[in-house]
Amino acid sequence: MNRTSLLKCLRIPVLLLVAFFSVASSSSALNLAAVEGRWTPPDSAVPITMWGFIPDPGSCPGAPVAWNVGPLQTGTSGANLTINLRNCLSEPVSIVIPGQNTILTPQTITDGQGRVRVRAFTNEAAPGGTASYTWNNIKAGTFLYQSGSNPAKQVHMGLYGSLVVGKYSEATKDVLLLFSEIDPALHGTPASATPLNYKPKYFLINGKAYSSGQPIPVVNGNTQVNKNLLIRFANAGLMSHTPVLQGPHMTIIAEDGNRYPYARKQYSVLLAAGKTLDAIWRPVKSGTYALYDRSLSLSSNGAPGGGMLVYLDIKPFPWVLFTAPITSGGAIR
Amino acid sequence: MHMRVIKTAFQVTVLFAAFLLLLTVNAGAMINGITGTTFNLTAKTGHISTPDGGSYLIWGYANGTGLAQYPGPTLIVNQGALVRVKLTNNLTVAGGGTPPNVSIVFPGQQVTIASADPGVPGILTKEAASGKTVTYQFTATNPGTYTYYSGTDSALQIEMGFMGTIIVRPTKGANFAYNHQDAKFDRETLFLLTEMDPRIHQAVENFGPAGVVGTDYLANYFPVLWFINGRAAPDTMAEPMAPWLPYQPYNCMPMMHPGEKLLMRVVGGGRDLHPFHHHGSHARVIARDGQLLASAPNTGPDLSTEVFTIQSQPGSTIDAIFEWTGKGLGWDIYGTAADGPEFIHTCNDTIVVDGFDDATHEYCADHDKPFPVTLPTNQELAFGGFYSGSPFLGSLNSLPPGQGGLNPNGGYTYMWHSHTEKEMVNYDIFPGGMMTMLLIEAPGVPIN
Repeated sequence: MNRTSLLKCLRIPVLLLVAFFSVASSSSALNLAAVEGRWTPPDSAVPITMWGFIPDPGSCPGAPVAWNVGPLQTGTSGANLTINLRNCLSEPVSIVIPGQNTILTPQTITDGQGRVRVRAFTNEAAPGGTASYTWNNIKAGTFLYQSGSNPAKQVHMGLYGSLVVGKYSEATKDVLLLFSEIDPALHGTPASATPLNYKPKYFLINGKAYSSGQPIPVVNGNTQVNKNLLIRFANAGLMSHTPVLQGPHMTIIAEDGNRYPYARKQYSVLLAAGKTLDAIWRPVKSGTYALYDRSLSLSSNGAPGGGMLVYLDIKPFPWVLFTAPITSGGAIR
Repeated sequence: MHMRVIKTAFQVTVLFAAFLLLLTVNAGAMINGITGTTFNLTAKTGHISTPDGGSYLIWGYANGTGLAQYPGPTLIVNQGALVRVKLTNNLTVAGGGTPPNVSIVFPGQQVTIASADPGVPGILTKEAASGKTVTYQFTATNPGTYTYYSGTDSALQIEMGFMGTIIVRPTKGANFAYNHQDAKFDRETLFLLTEMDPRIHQAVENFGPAGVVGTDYLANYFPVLWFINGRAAPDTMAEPMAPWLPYQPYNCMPMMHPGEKLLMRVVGGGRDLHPFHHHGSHARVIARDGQLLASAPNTGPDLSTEVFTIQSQPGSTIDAIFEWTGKGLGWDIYGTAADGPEFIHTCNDTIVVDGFDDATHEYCADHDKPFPVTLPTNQELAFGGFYSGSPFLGSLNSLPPGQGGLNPNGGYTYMWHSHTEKEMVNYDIFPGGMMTMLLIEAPGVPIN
């Protein structure tokens, strides 16, 4: 075989190889910081100490920030994802994404009795330091990212957020509903707080707890009647919840980022702790639809009413694109 | 006592039972409830009883001018019907305060509000203020098992008792759960599962709904009582409409013959998960939330699966079909010739060749196989009320005086209960709570 024909033989595989690498090597880098925050409950002016992920400001904030769930991260199916983490807390922090493959490097400590114990699922950012995490060839679906260090404490302290990879062909619009809880009793002294006596009193969707008498949070998918809407459910809390869409049935299509071979029609889903579920809903009537926890996490600091409740706003057809979206409501119209 | 005497006594018992049946209104093998298209429900207070002697304030939906019910009336409608539910708020509260608004939401239904009774706006739906009425209407488009419950201050009001079941009978017939041959049943039983935290009920009884404000009862919920269809065991097995349980009219006593299909309609009425465990055989889960588990329209429940524990979720419904024949026990459940001449029988698998007797559904492979245990004498036994004295279906044998009274026809019983075992108690006293018995009666024994 002469040189030319050898090159000819190699050309196509080389081109394919280049094409493959150009896809596989597409990557995105996200920069987060783990910081102390404050969350003001709807019934109280006394803020609760939280830990949270925020977009990395480049240096540690000088004062506690207003807490929210971690920023929504997006990724492309098959691409690589890198998260750079700056740790502004007083103890080591890390990030894991259940359901996405990467090589973890567990961190251990030796306790007072000489026993080696795992402290973190993977490498950590020391207080004041940084760390970097990469997931290759990430898979499509809805996922949670959360602290992998002392997760029994750090997750309920607020170190969690959502990752959305790719899109479903069935729906162009989507909403994400991130469920979580707060037990204020464990947040007064977070350095020692453990969840053995976890008894949450605030029940949140997307970082907000509805409180009776206040405007109800509206999740706006900018969607209109007779169009498919993807509802992504994620539970970063420590308890199971049962979200119910009041009225219609949804079609549940995926769980933990895995497509069901056959979709399931349900009006409610069991959303266990740490789980994600994806549902398609095609509203046939415009209006306001309530979505709430049928496990009755519908109180706020013990007061009846409130808790895990949002409205989904479905526009009539034709919906004028520039109509200001409704951001809160008072009652079903 | 000689076996033949027992047999005769058994036959007399059966005849007597049949005679009693003629005297009473035959409720049929169907679920107790109210039928029609227009339902007048009234929100009221009442007091339920628990087997440990407890009495608790409840808020319940009453049928018209009747008593409040825990749970609310089971609404049984036909597919395609325009259903109207008129809800009137006659609730009263302690302390002379204004009673709260009440409402109903109907998951899985497209509800509109009748213009005649528009109600007042609420969080989840329109509500009835004190003394007022709101009317909900929907078309029962899809057959199946559904639930309804309060859409007002739901964490408190559902706990207080505002919940119930809706059954939509398919056009294919009342003995079908859905419009498919594989959803056919011979008998049906409702299992509406709830739990109760008495602290909440006592606070409301003493101070009205404001009594729970300032407590953490709704968040730090701690139930100690568990119910099926509003009753805790052993009241689950008492007759429906028992006069001594006026606010808890529904029982839960599944009964069937071998070979029959028992439809289990399992409704999560409370706020907790309940793994409902049915001894005796697996059940095939065919539907959830009123939707057949189907891979495509018209396939029937081809995605159904068999389970021995039904995972009931709050606000969700599950339909499952339970069958029992005794297959696989390894002995003849009707006895053998060696047990006595009265046990001589044949296993005729000729008309429908399926391995079972065409009439009794006896498993022919086990025909005439001896009972593998030498029974202890009565002096060596402790007795339960369900033991007939005989290991053979439909047979009785000698028992000490006063024993066996719960099973006069020699049926087989299996405990059906929450597999969260702590839920089988009444306020920490075992047995009780979310528990009942399945009674399998011999072929020919009437079941009402």
